[in-house]
Amino acid sequence: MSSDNPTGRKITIEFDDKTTRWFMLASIGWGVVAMLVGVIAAFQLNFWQMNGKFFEWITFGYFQTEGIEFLTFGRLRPLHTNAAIFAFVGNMMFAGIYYSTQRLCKTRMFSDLLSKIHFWGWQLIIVGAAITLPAGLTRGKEYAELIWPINLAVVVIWVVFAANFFLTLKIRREKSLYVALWFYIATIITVAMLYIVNHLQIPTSLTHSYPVFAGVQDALVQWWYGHNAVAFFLTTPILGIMYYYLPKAAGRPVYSYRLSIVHFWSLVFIYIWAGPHHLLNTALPKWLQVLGMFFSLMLWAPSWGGMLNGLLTLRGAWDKLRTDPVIKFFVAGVTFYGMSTFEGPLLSIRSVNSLAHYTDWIVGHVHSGTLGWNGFMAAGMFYWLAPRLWGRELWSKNLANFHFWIGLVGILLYVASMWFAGVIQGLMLNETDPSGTRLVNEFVQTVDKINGLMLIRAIGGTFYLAGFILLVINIWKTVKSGIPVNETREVFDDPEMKKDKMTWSAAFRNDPIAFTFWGLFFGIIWFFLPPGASHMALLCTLAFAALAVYRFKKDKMDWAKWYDDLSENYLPFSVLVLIAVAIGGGIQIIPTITVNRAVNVEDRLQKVYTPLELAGRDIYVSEGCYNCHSQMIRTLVPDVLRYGDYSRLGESIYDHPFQWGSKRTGPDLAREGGKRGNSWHYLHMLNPRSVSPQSRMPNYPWLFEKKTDFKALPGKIAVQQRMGVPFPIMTPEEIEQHAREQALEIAQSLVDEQVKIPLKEGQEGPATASAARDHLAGKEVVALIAYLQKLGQFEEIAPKETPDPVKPRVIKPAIPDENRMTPENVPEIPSVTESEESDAPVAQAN
Amino acid sequence: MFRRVILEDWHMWVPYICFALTFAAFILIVLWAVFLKKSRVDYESRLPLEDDTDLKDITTNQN
Repeated sequence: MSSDNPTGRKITIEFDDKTTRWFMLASIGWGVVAMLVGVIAAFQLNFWQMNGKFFEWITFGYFQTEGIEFLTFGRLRPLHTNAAIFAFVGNMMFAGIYYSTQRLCKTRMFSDLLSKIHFWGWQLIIVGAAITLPAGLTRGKEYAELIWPINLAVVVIWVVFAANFFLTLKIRREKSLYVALWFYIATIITVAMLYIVNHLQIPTSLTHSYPVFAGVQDALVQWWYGHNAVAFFLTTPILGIMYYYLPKAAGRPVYSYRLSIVHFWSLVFIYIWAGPHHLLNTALPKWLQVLGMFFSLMLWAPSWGGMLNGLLTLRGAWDKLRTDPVIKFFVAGVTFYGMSTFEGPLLSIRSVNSLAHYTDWIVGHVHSGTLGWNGFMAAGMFYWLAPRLWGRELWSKNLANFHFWIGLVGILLYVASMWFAGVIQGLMLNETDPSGTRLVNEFVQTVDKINGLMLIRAIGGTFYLAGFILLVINIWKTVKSGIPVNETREVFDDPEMKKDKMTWSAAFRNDPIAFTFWGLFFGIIWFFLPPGASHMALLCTLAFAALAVYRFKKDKMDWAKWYDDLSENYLPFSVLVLIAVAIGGGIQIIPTITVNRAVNVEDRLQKVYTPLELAGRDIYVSEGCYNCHSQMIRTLVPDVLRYGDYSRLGESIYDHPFQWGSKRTGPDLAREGGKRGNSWHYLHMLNPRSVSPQSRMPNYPWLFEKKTDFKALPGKIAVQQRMGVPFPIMTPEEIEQHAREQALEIAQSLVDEQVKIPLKEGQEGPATASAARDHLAGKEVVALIAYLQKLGQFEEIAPKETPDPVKPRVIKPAIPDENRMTPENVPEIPSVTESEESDAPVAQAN
Repeated sequence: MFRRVILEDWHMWVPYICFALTFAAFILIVLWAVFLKKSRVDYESRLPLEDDTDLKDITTNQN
């Protein structure tokens, strides 16, 4: 502890609060963008015209359009989620971290230059996302949509941030690492690991790539990342912020520092395992589903421990709740943390999930976290920081209080309507007639039923945005009336301070580590060893446990010292965090990557796409169709009755990326191929309401104008081949020719059915049938139809008639050979002859 | 039972092994927290509050 030996001299340091100010203002600005896009997307689900057609109205007919490709739900939704997560919460988190880290470490950030690079680099990334996502440049994986050059930029900037942060820890003037810093360490390490693994990909061009994982592997890696993006980007840094700013605002230390330690390590150990709960009842191997459910349920304890720790920090200061908007936001934020972390494990129970998954309940759950937890914690922190960063009291407390209430009403409207909508839709989708063999409701009926609730959601979102705009006004007025202030403080500069002196050997070669390792080692191999040896392993486990207790009692102080030293040595501490999160990821992902290959698939194997179908698939991904349509029929009776036989693991094994989806605003498409004619799909893309009057899907007129990129196909197929997709060997010319021939076939079928070719004003249509065919064949819509018609096609894999030759397994007899009787020592049994037998008296025999 | 574990459904045991793993870690953490010295806990928990003078120079807005 720094006060132990204040032998150094007192110096005055000036904190770098400029970076905090920048990040804070950036967060507020991007927050408005993220929420505005979210509100537009919400209204799009009620009014299909919001996908661009509304431009006709607001320009009084000057601008004629059936839809604008940059504004469809499929493209705006990724923009909304990325902006909310990485731009709004990301910048808020950086502001909170930069401010608190300097004060907890009693030093300025290590490098102003690195801080600047971090800030501007991050903003550049966000601008890149804001341009590319509406342009349809996407990787097609949720919260991981950004294209590969931006991914590289994210990695570089994250490394810059990490370097600046860890080097600040290195030069700190406070020996102890406060718990908030632990949460920041976990965030930096885990996000780096998750991001890198989930973004492994091979580029096909400057703006396109395929992920190296496919099908179930991709699904697992994606949700390991997706779930932990919530855990380690939206939760752990904000918990660190809670542990720093809530005590500051309440003017008292955290309720239980011991509980915060348990909270931190439990979260780090458990959170990372829970990703598979996003894939319950799917083709994911069952053991992984059990794992996801199991660990999600375990999350209840640490999450609620953390929430209670936060709320109880206000003990004796609850009166501030009435007057202080900062405390109001913090208390509501922490309460929403508790509510959403109660709801998350609940939704991870397989039976609950069978009702809730793919419905709006999940959307409501996610938004209770982002709007309630992240949004309110951000608002509380901004209101607390603004006076300190600009040296002027907050412009209007009343306005901040009004923001709180309007925001709270907005969240409640949003979340409650989504709960009701989700449950209603889930029940309707699962409803069967009394025989249990026929569904009662069409999909579109279930969407119609919740129309009003979706509108309430959009209104709730608008309320929340309105509240946030009040924050913008309040902060802006505060900034205008104040001047930027960099805080200065006197601290002890003690070069002799004993921090970070722990050697690697002392950190990892000691009793606690050794007993944990060997105890677990023998405990695990107990499961796998044959009889006898397994008993020995169990004995070893028990022996190590007993020895550990004995040694702990004897050397209690040594053990305690190790723990204490660890929390004063940031590098070993960080390595332990890395080990904790890496174990969870490794156990889930490595077996699936190694086991689930095509050669191991039984039952069904996906048919490889033709070149044109691959082009169509890329268009499907680019348009963000996965935001509304799943491609995964779950192992549930209603799913099978509605969409066909449940999806097998092998049926998406060549899908780079997987497209299982997470929400059904439209029906599942896993077996869409062949269900309807080409002309149906054609008309559906042109105007969905022409074939499905209640549809709220956007029109896609640009698919009838834009040309399929045939030239890019050889390069794309080459990359897929490198990743193991068994495309037949073809020259680039053959690939292009094959694609064009298939396109001509589909186009001919459309011409035969006399479909209407959309034309711009003044444009002349093709004069002959063959010209019409040639015109259509080159358009994106034809490639997309080719892909849609392929969905659900598979090859039957017959079970092997004779098993593969394997090394014979020696089965040890129950009685060891040495204890068996040899022929020599077997006593002779007197032989009984038939005559003797028959001569025996009957009475004796009885 | 062991034949089933070894040859057939070993994957199904993974959740239990994982539970053992995290439970062991949890016990260690609880022990750590419980046996932390009170003086240390008090000191560390007050770290964010060491500088609670920071509002003294802030000018009041007249709103």
